[in-house]
Parts: sequence; structure tokens; C-alpha cells
Amino acid sequence: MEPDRQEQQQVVQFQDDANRFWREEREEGAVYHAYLKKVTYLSQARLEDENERNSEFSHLMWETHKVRVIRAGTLAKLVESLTNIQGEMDSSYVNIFLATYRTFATSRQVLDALMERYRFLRSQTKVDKTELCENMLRSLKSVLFVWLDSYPEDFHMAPDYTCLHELQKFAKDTAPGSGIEAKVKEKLEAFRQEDAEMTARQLELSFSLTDGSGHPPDTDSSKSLALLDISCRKIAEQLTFKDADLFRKVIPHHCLGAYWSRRDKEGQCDAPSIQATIQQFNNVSRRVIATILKTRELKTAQRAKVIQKWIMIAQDLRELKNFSSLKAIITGLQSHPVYRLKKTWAVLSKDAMVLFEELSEIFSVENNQINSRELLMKEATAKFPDLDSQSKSLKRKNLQKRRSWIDNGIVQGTVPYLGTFLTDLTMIDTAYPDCTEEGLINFEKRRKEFEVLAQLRLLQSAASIYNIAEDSSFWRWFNSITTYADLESHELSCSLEPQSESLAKIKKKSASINGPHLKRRVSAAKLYACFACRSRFSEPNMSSSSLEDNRAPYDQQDCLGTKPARLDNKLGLFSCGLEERHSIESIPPTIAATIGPLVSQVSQLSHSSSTSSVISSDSDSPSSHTPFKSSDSYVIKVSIESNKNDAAHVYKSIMLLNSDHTHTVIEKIIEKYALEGQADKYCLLQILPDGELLIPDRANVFYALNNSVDLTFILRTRQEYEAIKQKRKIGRTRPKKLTL
Amino acid sequence: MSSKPVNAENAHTYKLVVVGDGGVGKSALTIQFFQKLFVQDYDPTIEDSYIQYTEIDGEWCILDVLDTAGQEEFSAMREQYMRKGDGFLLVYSVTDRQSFENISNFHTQILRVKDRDNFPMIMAANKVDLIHQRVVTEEQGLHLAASLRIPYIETSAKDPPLNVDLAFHEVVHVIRRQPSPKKKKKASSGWRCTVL
Repeated sequence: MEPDRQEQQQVVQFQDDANRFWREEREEGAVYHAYLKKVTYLSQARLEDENERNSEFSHLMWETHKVRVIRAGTLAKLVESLTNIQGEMDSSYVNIFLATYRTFATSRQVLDALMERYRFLRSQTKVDKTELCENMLRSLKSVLFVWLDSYPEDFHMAPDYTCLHELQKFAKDTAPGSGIEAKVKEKLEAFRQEDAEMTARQLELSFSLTDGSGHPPDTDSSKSLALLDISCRKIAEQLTFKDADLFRKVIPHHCLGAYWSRRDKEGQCDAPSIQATIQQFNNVSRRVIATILKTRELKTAQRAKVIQKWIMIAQDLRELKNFSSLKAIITGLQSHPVYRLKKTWAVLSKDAMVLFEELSEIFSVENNQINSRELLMKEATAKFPDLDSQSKSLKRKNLQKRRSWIDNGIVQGTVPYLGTFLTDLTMIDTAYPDCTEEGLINFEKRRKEFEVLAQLRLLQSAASIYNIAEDSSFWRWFNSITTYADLESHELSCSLEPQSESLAKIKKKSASINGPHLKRRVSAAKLYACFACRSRFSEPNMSSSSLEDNRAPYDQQDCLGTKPARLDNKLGLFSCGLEERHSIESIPPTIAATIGPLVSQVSQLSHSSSTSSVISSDSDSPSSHTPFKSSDSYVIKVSIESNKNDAAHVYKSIMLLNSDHTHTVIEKIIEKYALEGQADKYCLLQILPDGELLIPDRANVFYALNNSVDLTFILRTRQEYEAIKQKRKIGRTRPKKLTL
Repeated sequence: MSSKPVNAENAHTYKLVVVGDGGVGKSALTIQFFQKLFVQDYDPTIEDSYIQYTEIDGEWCILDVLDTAGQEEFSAMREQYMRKGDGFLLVYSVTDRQSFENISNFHTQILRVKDRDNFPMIMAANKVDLIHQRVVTEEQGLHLAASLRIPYIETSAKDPPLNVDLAFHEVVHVIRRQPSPKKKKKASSGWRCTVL
């Protein structure tokens, strides 16, 4: 404990409000900090009145009041502080007290203490009827009203409702006609009715639960098809409906460390409202994983569609400001069994990848999750989200959306990810002791906790803004998806894309590289890769398009896959190339420095022979800045595909400068091998352990190549490349589009 | 929080992840490590709450600790956090056998996510101050640690704290000791990619 430090802090905190720390005051059972507050001498009404008439007395209109802030005390003393020195209700203190008292007392104890205080003050007034005492009595009654209204559940003790009956009796005896009696009566009736409804609902719920679990598991493929058949918007809205509902029901004080971090012990508090939220979060994540993994008989491209679908749903959730399911989906996509499916990821469209990276970035754990914290604060009570993107096409789309939100007066609610609050409250609970050394209740701790609770409550009101109706058919589908345990998922994943020794090593490394800060940088290489191998997605989602026809035109592009595919057709390669280069250049030097050491490791471990013939790539590898390749040139080995069997063993070295573009490099190779024909007849591919990476036509090869493996390349004619690609049945007509 | 040394820019950042069941005292270790003196200033929401500049074996480094205490039930998220770690502190409570038995699950999961057969981790037997409630002995702890081939340490965050700093620093030691450390220099072992 460092009182000086504390005091300084308090002074700073209060100075703005014309409060000045004066001294610490101690009395039996309580520690206060006393402040001097500058207040108007006259009442507000009179002040305004006087002000208009004669302002020359303005210097007389202020006086200094003493304000006491209780820092620690016994329950009785804390209850005493509900009214201030002037006998008025200290509403901010009352708020904090009512939100947090359960950590140090039961409702019954507080009620008793309140009634005790009231009786005491009342007996005082009989002896010495003062204005102060009258004020205090009135204030205490107000506290009771506030309590009954803001935390009715505290009195909801079926079937006896002891507290309410106690209060009723008290009101009748000591405060007749105060309105408390009527209030209590009203609450009693409401509770009884609620309980009756609850019982009915529970019956219904248990019925629907058995219904859900009894649902026969569908065949694997039909599940993923069903996912693709439902519109992204629909899924996002339904998830948001559920999340908002669950979040609104979260009882804020159950999030307090005193409850939540002691949840396991002797059944103290199992906080069902929080558990329900977590359960739904996990349900979403597991379904993301399951729908992707149960596609064994599907082709890679089709599996990629499922991933892409979830990314699009995630984007819709972002627009709905539902950070809970958004995080759940990102979590599912980043879970190991899905994340390791490199070949599948490599087939994703560029826009989908950019989107995925950007949505993931929101939940970066870097700097104590500053991204998600700031975003939440910014958007919690905003009408609609402030979307931004590195990608020009996404940016454009976002601007259109924004315009339409404004035009249509659309207001979105907010659902936060609850976990951050749970951790913050756990940490506060750990950092601050419950009691002072004297054994008094440490109310300062409660003030700290209340800051978090107040935010939660604000967000809960924001979560009520949504206007979404439940669609039970959606939830039937959702609940019918069978999910897997961790290990099962892992095994399924390995059966889709087997682990190989060399691959395993690379993957492990790239996983650690792909930290949140590095992502933007890494994505450049990744984009090239998926760009090279991606297949086009057509829109399988007819039903949703027709559904959304009556909305603004951008909405149609919104659902799965349409936008990226269309974009490619219209804008072609040129803009993509530009963006990618831009993103490389925008890498901050600090990140480049951090990535260096990691890259060296990848290089050491990834020396391996080719293990797969499918065109794929180690898409995670960053492009340059390896510490041992600090120069601005590489020497690459290039073979030409003359003989399919041993071509790779014959190669020539080519000097590659950091300014060399694809056609320049191809020209160099043509010259070196004395080949015939124009550069544009050929394409350049890097040989990777698990396939080949097509270097895009307009790329800067120096940055596009994957330098975490040997810099061996192969030059193929477009015909050859085309033929191989056809054979491998990956996608359709990419190379044609590459030729601009 | 320790003040930033002059050469902080060159300091290496180690991302340490604290894992373990709910209620084993993870947060107490973390808080003890970061908030030795100024508990009154503690704010869990600020950017650098869990970052410390420190000197370990004469080398300055930045410890960036990720402790998601309170989020244990968000089980789907565990792997995501594990992926970020350079080293791990596997914490169990000596008063809670279940938490001890879960250690090998966490261990397996980390190796699976990292796709390796070993990774920098240490095992912390926490709450050893609660002598009378202890149900997992030192011997049992050591035995498990040996079978997982990771260092074992007994900790307590109660006043006076026991081995708290040491536990975090030990993770850094283990990271630095691994064959291919995250340092600028190339490792002497393992595959090497030769570039002309």
C-alpha cells in the first residue's frame, strides 16, 4: 500500500471537477478520503434567477463543501454512505454499491442493514427532528426503490420471497404510505407470474433439447451443402439474434471475479447466464470446424468454398457488430485442424483472404488486445460499424454499405466478446484484496470492478437495439450439425491433408510466424500464392440472392463468393497486383525486424524434397528480409521443363534483382537457355516442398517468391502449365486470365 | 513496471502463454509478476499491462505474457492462443488433482498445435503455500515433469511469493536453450537452406 501514491492519483482525478483532496479520515469501521468541492452557494433555480439580475455578486455564489468518499468499511458503514453528508442519496455510490455488494454481503444482510439504518435515523428524528435526518430517511427510501427497480432478481427468492415479505412488513411498520409497500406488492405479483411462465418454458426447453439431440445425424456432405444453401446474411442474423439475447441475459455481477473466478469451488456460483454465452460461442466455433472437416469426399476447391462461406458470414457479423460470433468463427477457422489445411486455404480467393486476415486482426492478442478493445469502445454505441480495409475493392464496397446505412437510417446493435471482460474482472479480483489490513471491506476494489460492469451494462443496452426475428428452421439445422472433439477433429484434418515430416516442420514454423502483427506482411506472399492457384467460385447461393434482391444492389454481391469472382472478371489482375505490392511496401520496419529471426528458422527446417504434386504453396512464408539474405538480389536456380522426369536436376543460375518483374526474369531465362518465343508464352513457377508456386505475371519476383525454401524455379510454357493444371483438376481457367 | 532500458529496441520479445485450468492461480502468478509494487495503479485494460522489460542472464528482453484467466471455458479458443506462444507456463494447483491431471492434455495440445515433439514449456506447481490442502506431492509433480521432459518448479503467489519471477524467467531460459533459438543467428543444428 502506498497512500501517497493513491492520494496523488485521486487528486488528479478529482481536480477537474473542482474537487481537491484534503485528508484521509478514519473512524470506527471506516476509512474515508475527504475532498473539498467547490459548489454553487445558491440553489440552481435561484442562481439562474439571480444571475440574470445582478452578476456582480458572482464571486459570492460559490462555497466549499466537504465530500467524503468511503474507501473501506464495515457493511454498516458502507450502508451509511449511501447518503452523503447533506443527507442526499449519493447516486453514483449507490450504483456501485448495488452492482457489487454481492461480493461481500447477501441481499438479506444488506436489506437488514438498510432497515436497521432507517430505524435508527427514525428514532433520531423523534428525539431531534432535523432536516438532515428527514433527508436521510427520504434518501434511504429512494435507495430501496432504486434497488427494487434495478435488481429485482435480488428479491426473487422463490417460493418464499423472504426479502420481499420482510420489506413489506418493514414498510407497513415504519414507512407507511411511502410507496414501498405498493412497489413490493407489484414485484411479488410479477415474480409469481414470471415463475409460472418459467416453469412452462423450462418444460418446453427440455422438450426441444431432447428433440435436438434425438435428431438423426445427417450424412456428411449434405451438411456442408446445407450451409452453402443458407444465405450468409441469414446465418449472421440468426447468430446475432441468439448472441444478443444471451448477452442481454448475462447478469453483470456474475462476471465479477468473486463469482466467476471461483465458479468451480463447492458449487458457489455456476453463473448459468455466462455459461450459456460461452456455450453458444463454442457451439459456433465447433460447427465452423465440423462443416469444414466433414467434406472428406469433396474436392479441395469445394472445401475452400465452405471456408470462404464462413469468412463471408464473419464479415456480415462484423457489419452487425456482433463480435461474439465473429470471434467464434475466426476461432474456428484458426483452430489447428482447419488452419493446417494449407492446400484448401491456398485455393481461397484473394478478397476472402484479405478479409480473413483483417477480421482476424481485430482479435489480435497483441498489446493486451488493444485492437478489439478500441474497436468496441468506438463502436459500442455507434449506429453502425466503421468498416475499413486494406483492399481497395473491399473498401469501395464498405463505403457503399455505409452510404446505404445512412440513407436507410439503419442502426445496428452491438454484442461484445464476453471473454475479455471475464479476464479483466478476474485480474482485478486477483490484484486487489477483498479486505484491508484492518479487516474492512475494500470498497476501492468494487469501484474498479464497477468500471467494467458499467461498460457491460452499456453494451447490454446496445444489444437490445437489434430487430431480428428468430427462425426456428435455422436453429434446427444449426443444432443438427454434429461436432467433433479436439482429437477427432485433428485426425479428420490429417485424413484430408496428411501430415508429412517435412510439411509438418514447415507448418509448425509458419504457424508461429503468422502472429497477428506479422499477418499483414505475410499476407502479401500468401495472396500471391492463392492468387496463383485459386479457382473461381461461382455462386451456389441462388436462394439467398433472390431473397436479397429487394435490397440495395451491393447486398447481392455480399453473399458467398460472388464478389471476389466478379471482381476478378471485371478488374482483372492489374489492380490486384498493385494492391499486393502496396501491402508489401507498407510493412513497418519494426515488423520486418521481428520477422527476421523467425524466417531464418523456417529456412533451416524446410529443406526438403517435393512431397506432393498438387500445385500449392507454402503460403505463410514471408517474402524477404531474411537476415542472411539482406542484399537486394538473389541467385535463383531455374530449370526448364524439357524432360518430365529429371528436369529438376538441370538448372541454370539467374541473378534476380529486387526490381525484377516476372517478364524480365522470364526474358533472362529465355536468354540463358537460348529458348525461342516471347516471354509471355512462358510462366515461372517456384518449386516448393509441397507443390509449385506460380509467380503472377506482373509481380515483382523478388518479393513474390517464397524465400523460406530453396530458390529453385521451373519455367513452363503456358500450354504445359495449363495441361498439368487440368490434370490436377484444380480450378479452371486461371492462366488465361493471367495473360493480360 | 520496470522502466524501459536504453537498448529496448534491440531487445528480443518473448511471448509467454500461461495455461492451466480455471482456479489454479494463473492470474495470481501473472499479477504477482507484473504488479509487485503498485497494485493501486493496476488497470487490466491498458496496452502494456502484461509487458515487462527485463534483464535475464545479462540480456535485455521483453516479456509479453498472455494469460486468459477467466476464459477457460472458451475451449475452442485455446489452440489459437497456443499458436502465439514462444514458450508456455503450464500451471496446476497442488490442491487440485484434476488440474494436475490436465497438464498432460495441455502439453499434448501445445505440441499438436506447434507440430513438434518438444517445445519450450515449464510446469508450475502452484499454491504450494497451502500445505494442509496439498493433494499433489512434489514427487508426483517431478515424475510427470520428467515424463513430459519439461522443467518443474514450485510456486506461490501469496506473500511472500515463491519462485514467481523465476518461473517466468525459466521459460525464457528454456526458449533460449532450444536448438534453434529465436535469435538472429543461424542455428548450428537442423536443416539449413543454402543460398548461393
